[in-house]
Amino acid sequence: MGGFLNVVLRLSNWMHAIAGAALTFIMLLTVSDVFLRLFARPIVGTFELVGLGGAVIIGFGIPITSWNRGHIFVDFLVNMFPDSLRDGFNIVTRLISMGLFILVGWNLFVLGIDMVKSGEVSTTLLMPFYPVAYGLGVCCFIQCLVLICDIVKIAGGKYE
Amino acid sequence: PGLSAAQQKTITLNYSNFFPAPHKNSQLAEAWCKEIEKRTDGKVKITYFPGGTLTPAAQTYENVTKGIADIGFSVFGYTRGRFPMISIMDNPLGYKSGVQATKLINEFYKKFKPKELDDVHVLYLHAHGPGILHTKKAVNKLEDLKGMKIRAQGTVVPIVQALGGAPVGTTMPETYDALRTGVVDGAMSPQEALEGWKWGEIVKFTTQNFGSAYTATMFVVMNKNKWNSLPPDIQKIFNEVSAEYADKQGKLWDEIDKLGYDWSATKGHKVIALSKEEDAKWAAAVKPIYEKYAAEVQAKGLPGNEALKFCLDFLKK
Amino acid sequence: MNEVVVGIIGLCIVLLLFLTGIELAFAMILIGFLGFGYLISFHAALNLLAKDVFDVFNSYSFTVIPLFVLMGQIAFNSGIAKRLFDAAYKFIGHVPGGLAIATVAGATAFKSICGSSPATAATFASVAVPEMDRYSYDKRLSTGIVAVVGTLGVLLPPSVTLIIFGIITDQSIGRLFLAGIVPGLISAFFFVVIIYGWCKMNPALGPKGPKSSWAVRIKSVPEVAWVILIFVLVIAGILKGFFTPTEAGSVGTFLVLILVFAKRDLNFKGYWKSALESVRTACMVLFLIAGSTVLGHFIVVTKIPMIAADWIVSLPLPSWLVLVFIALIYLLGGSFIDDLAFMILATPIFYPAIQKLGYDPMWFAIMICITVMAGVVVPPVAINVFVVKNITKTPFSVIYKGVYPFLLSLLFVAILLFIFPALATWLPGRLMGAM
Ligand code: NA
Ligand code: NA
Repeated sequence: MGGFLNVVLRLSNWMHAIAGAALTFIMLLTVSDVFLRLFARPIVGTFELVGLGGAVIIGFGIPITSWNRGHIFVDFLVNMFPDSLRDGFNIVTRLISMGLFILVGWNLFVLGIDMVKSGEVSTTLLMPFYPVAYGLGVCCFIQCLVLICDIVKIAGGKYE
Repeated sequence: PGLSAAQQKTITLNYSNFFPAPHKNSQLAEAWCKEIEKRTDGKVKITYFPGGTLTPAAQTYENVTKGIADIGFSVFGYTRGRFPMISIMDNPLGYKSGVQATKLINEFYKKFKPKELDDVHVLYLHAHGPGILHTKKAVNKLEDLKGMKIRAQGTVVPIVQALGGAPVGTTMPETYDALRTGVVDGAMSPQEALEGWKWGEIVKFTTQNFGSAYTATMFVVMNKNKWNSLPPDIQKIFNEVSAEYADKQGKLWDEIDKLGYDWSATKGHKVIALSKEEDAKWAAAVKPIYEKYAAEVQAKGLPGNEALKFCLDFLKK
Repeated sequence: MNEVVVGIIGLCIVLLLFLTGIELAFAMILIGFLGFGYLISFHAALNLLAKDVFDVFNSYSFTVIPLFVLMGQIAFNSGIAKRLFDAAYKFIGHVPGGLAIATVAGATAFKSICGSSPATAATFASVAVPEMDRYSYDKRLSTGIVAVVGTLGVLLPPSVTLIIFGIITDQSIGRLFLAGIVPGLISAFFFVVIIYGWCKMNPALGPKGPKSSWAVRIKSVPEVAWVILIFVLVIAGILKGFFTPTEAGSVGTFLVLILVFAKRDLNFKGYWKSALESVRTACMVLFLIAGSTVLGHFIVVTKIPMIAADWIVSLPLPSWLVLVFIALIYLLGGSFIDDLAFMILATPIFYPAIQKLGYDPMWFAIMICITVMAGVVVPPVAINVFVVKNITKTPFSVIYKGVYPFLLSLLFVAILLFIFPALATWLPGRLMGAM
């Protein structure tokens, strides 16, 4: 089981790095655009690329944020329960979350397919959006792996 | 059981519009709902959601096809690439009024019946008044615009470039502040936006470059399955009311443009009319944009050149 | 089942789910999805789920959140924050709660370059809280003030809330900006008063230090002069129109980065650590926004906001009580769904009633802004508190204990504004003439 945890953690870290690179990229892009605007030479489409970068930052950050339990949750009530009941609660919420991310991920793929069919592109640079939809979909599925890891950790008594 | 026949037959529909409730376009859409309810003797009940609260503007069309809203009002240009034929009209073909643009799009739809709209039922289409230039410093001739930073998104970007300006992307709510601080020196829009988005507080000049004016085409469409489930007599009423409202909407665009002129005038705003020769220079500068666009549509196997000619002929009338 | 009943049951289930230890954002997305599916259709709800998530994540405006968080992280990891607070301590450390007061001053100034309330909270949570820890400040005070101080952005220009409000209610945005300034500064002032009073009552909260001589104080200035210069440059850049407040997130972070690289206060590894941390915080915040967007679409189709608004307005109550109810509805509504979305939903219904009651529209806008400010720190969904908890790893109960005294000051400002509407209307009248 440790091997599986390691693989998922490494995958999450790797995606985290891409998100960090995207953050650096949108910062540099915006600064360049602001600078070039001084000479009336704006980088056309900065607005769209930055939005797109935002999707990469958030999407690729999903698994690691979850791995580190970075989302907000309220656990004072479950912490008052006996351990076995608390573990039961945690496992159920992990399963519900998995169901949710499968739904979101699957429908992001459906959305991507629809975007390919309809030919929808961004309004200025005419870039297709579907890779973003697919990408976010993949991120949701990897998030499910992280949730499985959570369950493994709970079973091993290593979940906080 | 216990329900009367009339109650059992009540058809309830959701209508989503991105214009906020107080905007005149939203009020007209709401009046359309009321008119439908009235003429169907209450057999149809429409719940109206303004301000993009049910579906954001850019999602409205797609969300109508999926049944998130049954009826939707939005802008074709917000989803680029999806409506290659209709979007020919979003080019700077030289518009003079909202009535003219709205008439054109409905005729255009009747003639070409673009396949891209097959996944919905079209109730009516319309398009705003001439999209022209508003600036903080006077632009009297094409050369004045050189190097000016003009707020632009989507189809307006190439127009600004062709006219010699530098297009800068900002969100619509942020544009007021961008104009105020000088991040941009101007923006292109119908006159209406000067009051609607309050830009008239900041920009001091409008250049009436009608010969190179663009428009934004808009739709009021219905989910296809919902439409097919309506009894024929109800469908007839929908079509009649919609045809009337297409006219009303065209007139409304001109009316709010006029309000935009009057309102900005009270803020000390000046309107610059271009001479015929000067206007022709602007028109010539943007011509390659729509010719290239039509050719691209043609390359997709659609009658792009014919459609462009149809529009240009109509606008010459 | 009636839509309203479905909506109320849905919201109750969300609250119950919050107690199960599930991530709040996931609970909101889940119930929003199920509720929308139940009322409209599950086919539509599945599409909604994907579209809402896609739209929130792929948004230009929200990118300010990771960028300003990054600025805060760089300031912390490079030691800039430490030097800033050491300097502040020399000037004001001898006053009870002095560093918290300095934080209020800093955040009020910071507001002019950062328009986002959670981003301000995140920046100051990473910069100010560890520094106040160093000087043995109580966590209640340090976390409470950073959660609250970010809310000032709603009142101080350039506030997106005020821009949207001006457009919906057809008012001059220039006037609204001016109207927000005095109440915004009064709020900041009351934050200071509360810090001082609270620390006087309980000196352990913000222990006062020795008074430094002017020689010592002046010696600390060059250490922070560069930071102040960058700050002035960024403000000037916004005022002179070189970039928008959204772009200021990138420009400011970039300048800070150049500074710390040049001074060798931070190496690439330190930068990378900061960037990765920002990604996690932004992901957390944007998931909450996505959650409130999906849940918001469910609430919209229940028509609860519209029905509640119509109902309140029709009640035969004294006008001030109607106003109190309206404020409560904004507080509650803005808690579950996105504040701006709720404002767009509710304002057109309340606004005509407010005019009929004879209230000044500009004044009403400012009242609603103060309500929205309180909303981001009031449970159940208090995004600024969540941000501070996430960054400082402090329990909710501690942060809330620190937030409540400051809520009193917001309430106090609201009452003041109610008695003296001129606090909002005087400045625009003075500078832009009568309406
Ligand atoms: Na709240
Ligand atoms: Na909210």
